[in-house]
Amino acid sequence: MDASEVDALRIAALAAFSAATDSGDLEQARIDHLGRRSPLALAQKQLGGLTDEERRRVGALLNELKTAITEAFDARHLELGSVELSQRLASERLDLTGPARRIRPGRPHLLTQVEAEIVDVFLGMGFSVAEGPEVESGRFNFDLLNIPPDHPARGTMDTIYVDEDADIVLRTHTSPVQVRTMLAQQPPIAVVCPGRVYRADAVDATHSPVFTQVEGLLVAEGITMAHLRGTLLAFAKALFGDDREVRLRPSFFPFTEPSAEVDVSFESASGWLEILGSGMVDPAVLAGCGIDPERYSGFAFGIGVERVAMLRHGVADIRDLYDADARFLAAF
Amino acid sequence: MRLPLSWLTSMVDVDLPLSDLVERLSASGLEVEGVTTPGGGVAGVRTARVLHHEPHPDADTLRLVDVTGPDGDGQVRVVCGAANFDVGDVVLHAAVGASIPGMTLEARTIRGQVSNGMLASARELGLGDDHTGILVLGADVPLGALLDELVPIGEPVIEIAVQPDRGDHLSIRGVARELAALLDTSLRGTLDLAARPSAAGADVSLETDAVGAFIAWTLEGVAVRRSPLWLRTRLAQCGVRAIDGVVDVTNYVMLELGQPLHAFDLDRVAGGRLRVCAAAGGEQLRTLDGVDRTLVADDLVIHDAEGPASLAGVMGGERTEVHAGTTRILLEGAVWEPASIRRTSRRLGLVSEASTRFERRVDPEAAAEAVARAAELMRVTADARATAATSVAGTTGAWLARPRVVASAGRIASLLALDLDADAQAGLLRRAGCEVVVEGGSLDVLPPSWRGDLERPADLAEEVARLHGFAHIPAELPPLVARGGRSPLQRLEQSLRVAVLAHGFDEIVTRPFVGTDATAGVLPSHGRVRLANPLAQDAAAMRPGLLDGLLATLRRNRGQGRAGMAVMELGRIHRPVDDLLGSALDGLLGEGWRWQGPDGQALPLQPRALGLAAFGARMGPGWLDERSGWQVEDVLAAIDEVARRADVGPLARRPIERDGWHPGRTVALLLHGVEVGIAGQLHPQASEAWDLPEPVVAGELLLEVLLQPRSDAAAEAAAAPRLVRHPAVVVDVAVVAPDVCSVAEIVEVLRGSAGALLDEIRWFDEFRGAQLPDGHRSVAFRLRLQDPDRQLSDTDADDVLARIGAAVSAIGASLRT
Repeated sequence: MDASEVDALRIAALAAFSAATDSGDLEQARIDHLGRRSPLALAQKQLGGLTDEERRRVGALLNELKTAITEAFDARHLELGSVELSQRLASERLDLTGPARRIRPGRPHLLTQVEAEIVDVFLGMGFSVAEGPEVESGRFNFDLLNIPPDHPARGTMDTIYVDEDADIVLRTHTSPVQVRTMLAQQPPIAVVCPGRVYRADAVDATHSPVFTQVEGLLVAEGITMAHLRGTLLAFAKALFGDDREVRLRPSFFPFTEPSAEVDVSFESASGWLEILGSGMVDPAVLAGCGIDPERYSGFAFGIGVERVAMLRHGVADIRDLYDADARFLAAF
Repeated sequence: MRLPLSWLTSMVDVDLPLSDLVERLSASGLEVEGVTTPGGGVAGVRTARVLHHEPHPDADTLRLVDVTGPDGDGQVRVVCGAANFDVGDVVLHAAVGASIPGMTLEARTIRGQVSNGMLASARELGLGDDHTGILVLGADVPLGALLDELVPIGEPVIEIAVQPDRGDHLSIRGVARELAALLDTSLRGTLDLAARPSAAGADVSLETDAVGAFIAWTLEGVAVRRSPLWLRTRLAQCGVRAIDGVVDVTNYVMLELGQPLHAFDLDRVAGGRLRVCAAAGGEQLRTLDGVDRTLVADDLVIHDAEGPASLAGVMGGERTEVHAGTTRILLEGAVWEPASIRRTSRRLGLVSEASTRFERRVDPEAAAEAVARAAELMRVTADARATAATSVAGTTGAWLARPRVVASAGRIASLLALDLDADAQAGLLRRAGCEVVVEGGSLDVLPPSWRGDLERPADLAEEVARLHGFAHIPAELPPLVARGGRSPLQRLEQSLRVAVLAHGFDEIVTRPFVGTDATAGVLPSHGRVRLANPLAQDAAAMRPGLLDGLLATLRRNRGQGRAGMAVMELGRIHRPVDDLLGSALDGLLGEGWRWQGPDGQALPLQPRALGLAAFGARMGPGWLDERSGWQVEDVLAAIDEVARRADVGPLARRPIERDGWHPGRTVALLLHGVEVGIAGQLHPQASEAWDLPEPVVAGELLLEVLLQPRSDAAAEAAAAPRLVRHPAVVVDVAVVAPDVCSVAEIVEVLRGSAGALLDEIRWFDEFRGAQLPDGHRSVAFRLRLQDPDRQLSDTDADDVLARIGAAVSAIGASLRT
């Protein structure tokens, strides 16, 4: 084999690589020109039959040839690979500006969110959560809270009864949970009582026969009205913003004395909005629940979750909270 | 209670702008509900005498009237639609250029006749509701006088909400007293009172303990006529209808002093004597509102010789009512027991101005003064002469007692966190009318007769704080008294909610009432916790399950054109005490989950439950996927995850047939063999009844069983698994099984036979076709084999295949190769 033959092989191989337009063609060209049955491979196999001198000369030529063809192949391979990758990437374009169509996790109800937020404020102050039944004994819902049998609030105009004779009611507040807690344990007591409560109110934009309360009770030695104010101020700041103030106004509740309505400063006509009722636990309530009012004092408060939710989120109609329109649910 | 400003300030000096006064009242517990100005806008309306009137020539219902002009003389022509006046009457003329609320008058031509202004009715002037005719005044009024100079029309009237324990705020004088205490001043002015006649009056016998005092004066020479303008104005400002010079005075004095009064026509009181007693029950009494009422044994009544004449403290009787011809009056002022009045008022649904005051307790020492005050005013308004008086002291029952209250000033100061010593507290209480003796650090207090609410040291504490100002109470966080936080089970409940939300269900809150029917869910029964006084027939009972609220929500949203929705609710369901649900849960939980009343009596069952329901297409913000609708699997997946998080799951499933559910697509969910849940697809007829497109899928789980304390190991912290590092061998098997073999059964067999090397097993395909025998399917599973201590070989996989091959053949199935 002489130099011109080797040159012809080189030219043929390079031409084949250049002619290849995709990696399949190129692979076939590689097999044709570098494979085990290629002229180059066959020539190398025949080297053994040559004289030593010839073998050295032709061997060197063939090695040169192989190096040249391999380099040409590698170059072309790289070139074609890069083109093909670009083509593939171009063909794989996805429009990711569209909506992400996978399971959308559901949302907790606004009342659940606000209730949890309120409860969390008090948990941070060392309160626990206490729960109780919604169908409740009148003794827990009324009597032990200083609401005597002939009290107007116990009438069927205000209270929904399950059994009037047995005095079983739909609880009108979560205060019976406070009662159950005090009957079950001695102070110190610090609990919040979230849950649904019921009143005999027909459904309209501002009334609902069922609504949600978070009540709180703290009983220990040396609890004062300043502690009540401080606790509710912390609540108001947490729920409505750090710039809030609270105002206590004298009021009347059978189960607290002194009693206070609590207003939070707001961008309203008067500058204040009534948020909740509160007071120092009436000594008669403590005594009735087996707690010594001479030794212990405490405060209690009741927050309407609907009211907080409506104020904070601009919900104009309380029915929206219970009618579960998907558009409403998705907003929170 | 409405408080005309000039009436209030006639009794107490208030040196504050109106807005400050309102603020001060609200900050002191007299919540101001509003300030109105009845008759505001009246200007240029003058008194005038009717000189002449004649029918309108072209209108039957109109009159042409000539009245005197602005100077009390002259003559002005107006057209008037009323006919309740005659020549000589004094009326109110709004002339051209004058104003009444809402309009300024101009000369108008009415059916061809020019009207120079109008003659005004009470309603047109904001002086009450009367629009049956024009307002006719007494003859003693000067002519040409401006109405707004005669009476304080258009002045501010403050309306306050009265606290239930502060009946003393239900009068002008009561609020004036309150202001005097708040502003540290005293009441001013004196009231004109009639002298008490010395002659003995009507014979009155008290036969009940529910009356504290009974005063009855005899008034003679009475001429019943219209009340004077100033009195009518006051009543109108307070929202009380004017009737005549007798009844109006009783109402006026009630507003002024807080003591309700009643005037009997003495000539209609049979026998001329009164007996105060509890009704026997069954008597009939027609009250002043014209309603016939049947009395019960508890009602307090005032009897004359003929029977009940008045429902004591609530409303008088029609038979003895004052009328135009009345000449003799028995004027009664009594003090009734609050609880008794409250019972009667509530039973009859009859709330009057009188009952409102008696219920909240009236000043027991003010009745005599009120009667004397009314007698004096009736002298003016009805020419009444007081000729005789009866005054009977009633019971001295506990409800009248006015005990001294002894309190520690130090305890009051520390409860309020206010730096007020005993003398400072005594000073505040004295402003409220209390007699106070300070002895060392102790206060010995005798509250005034009008304050029934000051009975205990806590009441004194509130009064001290109120008069000192709640605003002075500092804000301070309480010392941390307890280790707080949610309990593990409360945290679990939150986590279970999150698990369901993560499956795409939105949480809803529904009103937990149902009508007579309810969709059968878990452990259904016909038991209902019925309401004694439901608000509506479709809300007659508490929900026995959660499905109706969920399905109604889906229906409502479907009605809004929504293509699909998935919702969940977490709440209590309600069943009667003896419901079968109770025994089922008792078996799992013991009886600790049941709620009891104070003496251990059982309350209705009210376990917590989880409900889910979905229909239609999945969607999210900006997209809708109609090819991937909500399926039963979605409900099952959510419930499985809930059970796993509570360490009891997944729950076993058993196909069931239940009313309202698809017979082939519904399973009961079992815990220790007890049904605790249900999941499936609604029956096509149920879907149709709810106006929902099929499939509607739903589920219900008694969450209570997961949220009660458990003693078993599952309640302990989960242990971390050992992660094997040797490579796993993956084997796919296809099990050809007859349809009677459930997937759950096949998995159980695979799990039981694969041996210790089995790490996990996953369903990945299911196939039916001609290649398989009829009634058979091929279910494919991927098994992952791993050994913690060595690398596995093909032989290990072959061993496993051989074992499970043998095992599935035992249930009539085979491995497909």
